[in-house]
Amino acid sequence: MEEDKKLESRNRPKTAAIIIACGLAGIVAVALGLMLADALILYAMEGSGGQPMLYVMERAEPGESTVVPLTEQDFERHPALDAVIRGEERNPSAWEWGYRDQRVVGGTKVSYRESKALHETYDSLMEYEGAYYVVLTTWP
Amino acid sequence: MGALAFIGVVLLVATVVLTYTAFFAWLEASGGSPILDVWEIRGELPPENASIIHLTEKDFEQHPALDSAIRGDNLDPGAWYLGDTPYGVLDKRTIGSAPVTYLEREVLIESFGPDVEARNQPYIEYDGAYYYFLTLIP
Repeated sequence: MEEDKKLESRNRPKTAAIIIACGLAGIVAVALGLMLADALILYAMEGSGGQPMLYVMERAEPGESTVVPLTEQDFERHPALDAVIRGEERNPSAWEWGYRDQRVVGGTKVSYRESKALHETYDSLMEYEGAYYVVLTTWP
Repeated sequence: MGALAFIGVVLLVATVVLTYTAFFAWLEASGGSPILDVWEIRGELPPENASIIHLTEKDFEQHPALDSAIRGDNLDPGAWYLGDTPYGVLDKRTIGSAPVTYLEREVLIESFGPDVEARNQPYIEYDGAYYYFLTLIP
């Protein structure tokens, strides 16, 4: 009887270790799988010959959404964004087409990697010099 | 032995996640995309008070689908016939069509019409010819 108890208490840390190891393995595996899938899809897209585009839409009113100001650092980091908002790719359409509270400011070709970075960084409404912008990325 | 089993489990779960993600990405991509259809119209065009958008090189550069349908790989003019257009019954022909993403469709509508509120469709002019487009959703 005494021996049984001793055995049990010796086994307990071992069981805990196995559970922790399994949990760790699971987390590492899921992260690895997602990373691999991401890399594979990016690789396949880059080889497909399609052209990802970056578009910037201007909104007349910010509405209820949170607004994040664009800084010089943003423009430095993403020259494509700079070109579309205030550079040579600026080519605004008339407000009247489509919905009147928004218009397309411009667009430019970007690489898949750049497109992905832009998509992940600018997911909220942006503000620059009193105008509100939404960053749109499209993958063919 | 334990370490080997650990690596095995990691690889197994990673493969499952990878397959699952890739499969859904593929499903999403093969779900069909909207089609941009461009038409050319002719006749007594356009009326004096009409809105006309003159396409520039920059427009073509920024909207590759429109470029390919009007003067690129997807240019495939059909025969002229009398039919319904957003401006009334006119002589028209298909010029080209190109697949677009939902977002590109939205961007095209925001850039070249129609006006969603007033249902006013502009005339799109390029090289002396007048066009309008429709987008079909699968």
